Amino acid sequence: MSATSFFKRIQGGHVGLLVLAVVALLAIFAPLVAPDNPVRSDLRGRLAEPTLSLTAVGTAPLGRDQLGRDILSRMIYGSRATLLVALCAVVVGGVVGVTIGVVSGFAGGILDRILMRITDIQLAFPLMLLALLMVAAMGANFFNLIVVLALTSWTRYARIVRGEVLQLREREFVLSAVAAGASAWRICVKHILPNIMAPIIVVATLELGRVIVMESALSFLGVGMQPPTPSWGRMLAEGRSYVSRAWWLAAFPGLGIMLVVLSINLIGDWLRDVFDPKK
Amino acid sequence: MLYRYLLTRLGEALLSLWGAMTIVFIAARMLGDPVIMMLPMGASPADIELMRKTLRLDDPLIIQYLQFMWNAVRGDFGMSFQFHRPAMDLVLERLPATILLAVSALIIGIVVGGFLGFVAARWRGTMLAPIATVLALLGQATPVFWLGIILILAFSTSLGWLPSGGTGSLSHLILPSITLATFTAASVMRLLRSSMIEVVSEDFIRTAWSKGLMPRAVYVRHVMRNALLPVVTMVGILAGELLGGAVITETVFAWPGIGRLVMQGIETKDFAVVQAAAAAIAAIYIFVNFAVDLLYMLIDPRIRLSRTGRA
Repeated sequence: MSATSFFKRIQGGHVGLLVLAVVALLAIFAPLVAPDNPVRSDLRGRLAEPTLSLTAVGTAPLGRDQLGRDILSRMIYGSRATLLVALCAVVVGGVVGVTIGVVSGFAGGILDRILMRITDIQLAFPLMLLALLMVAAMGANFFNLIVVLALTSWTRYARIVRGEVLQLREREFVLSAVAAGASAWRICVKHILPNIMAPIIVVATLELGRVIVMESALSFLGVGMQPPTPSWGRMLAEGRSYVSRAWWLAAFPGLGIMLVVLSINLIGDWLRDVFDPKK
Repeated sequence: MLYRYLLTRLGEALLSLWGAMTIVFIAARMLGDPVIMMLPMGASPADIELMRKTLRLDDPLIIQYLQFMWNAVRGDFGMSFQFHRPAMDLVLERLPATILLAVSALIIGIVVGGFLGFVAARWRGTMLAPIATVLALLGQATPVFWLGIILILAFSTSLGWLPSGGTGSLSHLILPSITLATFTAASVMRLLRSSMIEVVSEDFIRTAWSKGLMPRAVYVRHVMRNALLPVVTMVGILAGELLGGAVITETVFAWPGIGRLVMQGIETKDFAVVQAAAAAIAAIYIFVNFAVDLLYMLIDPRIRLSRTGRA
């Protein structure tokens, strides 16, 4: 394969996958790769400028924050909290949403109408405001953040899954399973779920990006992850007060969020194209 | 048929409003005990008890809920304890600023996003298309608050062209509305692009070409007109993004709207203000979605006959 045809075959999703894999590895192996302790302050190095030289040992390539903490190390450690909360929220929201979607689509009737009305009601509330109110009310900690973010997420799964189930329900293989006397549970798990995995995965990917942005926004508003746990949104919020003197405090965490969300969205778009039977 | 659809939609909107108010009530009750915040430090337990009685906070929850709903219907959300004024008055005072910001952002978003989407679909296969696509991808991935900070850094701190916050003149509106519009523009761009690409392959477009129409006429009169329909539906969803984004944008730019009022209310535990502002935002959102549905019905006559409920 020549070089040009190789580059032509590369799609945005591949690049996104690569970037995300690197970020995930950095997060997992944070203690090994971070050059410094993320919470150790070095008062002489307060607001030290980025050196951007990875060869020099002991310097902060992305600069130091208002307490002299190494920004690169904080970003590597901060990605752990950010990614873990987002992943858990997407999984929890996904399980709840898919369950409701399957029940709604498969059972139909009055149950379907009630569940879909609940979905509508929740969608009638701007998600950001809902998350803000709920986190402020429940108190911000790791667990509550997951619950709140999952709460903003389940409706999208539920709607899409319900639509898919409504179509599948009339297909021959499902009808034959019904005729054979299979239980509703068995039909849903064995016949319906495997056939709706593609849209679920696409929704989950796009939700992951949205949830990361929302988590960082909540942190930014001061109701997200609490200190001393570094998260990208918190770092950005703290850096905001110093933005005129030390731009690197806010710039790098923001770039990090942008890069990760961009990668995730690229993967989501790519998956949607791959799964789309029309193409 | 038409009236029945209208009534169904109205019923749905009212039901949503009721649900939103219930969410506001639950959240406000979970925020904590307002009495602690209202009384000065060191108030005696007897005083606290008296205050709770006066505010009827010792009633059963269901009574409080019904009372809340009854008051909400009349627009009464209680007094703000830090401003000593009815909370709804404060919200109504701040409302024009938020609407100005959100509408400006919506216009910028639709114009810029529409232009980029048109370019990406019309000149598919040229170098212009990927540029527009990359811009949209970046716009969707950029956190609103970060963009705001970067814009402040560039245009007020470094260049000194525009004010970094506050309100009062047109120049104050520029940075916040661009910040808030970015996500909107990206969403509009992506939707318009894909819907245009879909419309282009329709039979009636082939007919338009075979009639010998100029490309301009085909794209503007036939493609755009049909491709814009899904964009109209999306305005309802965008309204939610804009109202949610307003909370953040207004905080970054010290813009005196209801988004910032919500944040101030949460920080100072001024429950009445939080309730009133959240209720107002939800009501606006529901109203916009209702209006969009009606508008959609007027634009696309096919809907009038085929749709009786929301898909």
